[in-house]
Amino acid sequence: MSFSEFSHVRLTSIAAVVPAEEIRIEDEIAYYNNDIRQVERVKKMVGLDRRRVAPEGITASDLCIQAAERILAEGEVDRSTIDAVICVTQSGDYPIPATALVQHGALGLSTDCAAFDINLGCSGYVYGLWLAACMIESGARRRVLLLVGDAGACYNNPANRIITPVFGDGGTASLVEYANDAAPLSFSVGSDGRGYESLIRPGGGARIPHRPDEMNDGYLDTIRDKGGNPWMVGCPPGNTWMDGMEVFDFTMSVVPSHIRAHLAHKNLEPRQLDWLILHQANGQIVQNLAAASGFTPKQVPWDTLKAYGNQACASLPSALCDQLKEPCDAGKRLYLMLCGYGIGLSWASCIGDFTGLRCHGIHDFVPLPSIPTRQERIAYWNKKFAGEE
Amino acid sequence: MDDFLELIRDTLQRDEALEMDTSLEDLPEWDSLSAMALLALGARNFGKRLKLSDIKKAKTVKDLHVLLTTP
Repeated sequence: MSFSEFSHVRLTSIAAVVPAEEIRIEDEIAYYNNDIRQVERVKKMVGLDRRRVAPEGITASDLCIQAAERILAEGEVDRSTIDAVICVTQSGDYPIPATALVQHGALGLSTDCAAFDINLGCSGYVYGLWLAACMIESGARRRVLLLVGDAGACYNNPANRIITPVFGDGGTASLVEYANDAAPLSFSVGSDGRGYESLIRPGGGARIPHRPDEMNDGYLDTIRDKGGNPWMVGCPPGNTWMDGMEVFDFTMSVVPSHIRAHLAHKNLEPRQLDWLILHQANGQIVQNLAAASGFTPKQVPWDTLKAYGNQACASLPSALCDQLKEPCDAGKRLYLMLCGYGIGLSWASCIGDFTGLRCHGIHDFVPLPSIPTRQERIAYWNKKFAGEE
Repeated sequence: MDDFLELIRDTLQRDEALEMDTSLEDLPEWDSLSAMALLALGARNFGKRLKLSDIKKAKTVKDLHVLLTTP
């Protein structure tokens, strides 16, 4: 296991934005044979309760942009000095170009700014922080805007009870800056690509492209598992596949020892940290990880999962915003460990003193004056292709 | 033994009673959520770190009893 240490990097601001539209799991009782006992079972066993789902036409990118505007509205940061924007998402606006470019344009950032995406999920926030820290510590960049969000609900088939009730939409923004007097930050990251099939969207990429001329080759067949949940290779909906058992097995076999080794590297005991902020996968995973890593339940919150669902890459920064509330007491000591794990399979953790972090909390997305409909967007592109736009 | 059956019934969040020879595969509650809950139960109530592969292999409630109580 290897570690990266940084001493000139500070996470200074963080904000989260969620769609205003809320779904309660009780609202979906029709998918549980109208049996409230089945709904209560899922609530109790997984900790699912409410989640936010973006309306049609609103993407993770939009949520992140509003979160970024909250940070930039403070007036302490001149947006022209941001010299990198990193977008972490698995529900980008377009297959190409990178969503960071769309956001760079929308936020009016400098043309001297680097902009690129990272395709990671639940481990993605910590990976993004790590990369930002590498860029800053090396002197290559001074001020990195890290936009981490996912709004994958648009891909999901509501009838699929493995995927759909778990994942909520959310977007976050974090500002990572150079600081001479920064507290040390320690990172450890890991990967096991042998497990890439256990959480995957198999269709729509270059391996199995979408080909509407071959509709009869099984690409769009609806396959039902033993529980009656619909699945599909093609996109969308219903095309993200998860082997819950495998993912849980991986998590419990890798993450606790990863956390313990990172703590040992820093000569720390769990009790010396204020919080261990975990990716909010589900209630059982968070509680089991907390116990297996030697933390008390109070040190490892998971209220964010109940209120917003598993927000994939946005879940860890959202949980941080949720715990710190707003406005956060800038003087309060914040000695934290952050740990994300999941799709890839991929994991990463960070230990540091985050005292002074300005938290802007979790806010509802402010509706835009007008959102083009799907039909309007398609018509726009058709006109453009024809040379009329 | 009744206590054990009750414990498993509660862990699986099942309303109907279980017997030692109840086939796990036939239970609608036999899913990944139950497997996760059993791992937690093993650690909490039996001081045992179960393997997911062993839980997957279990055919009956009795198999779970063996897994959880064999030192």
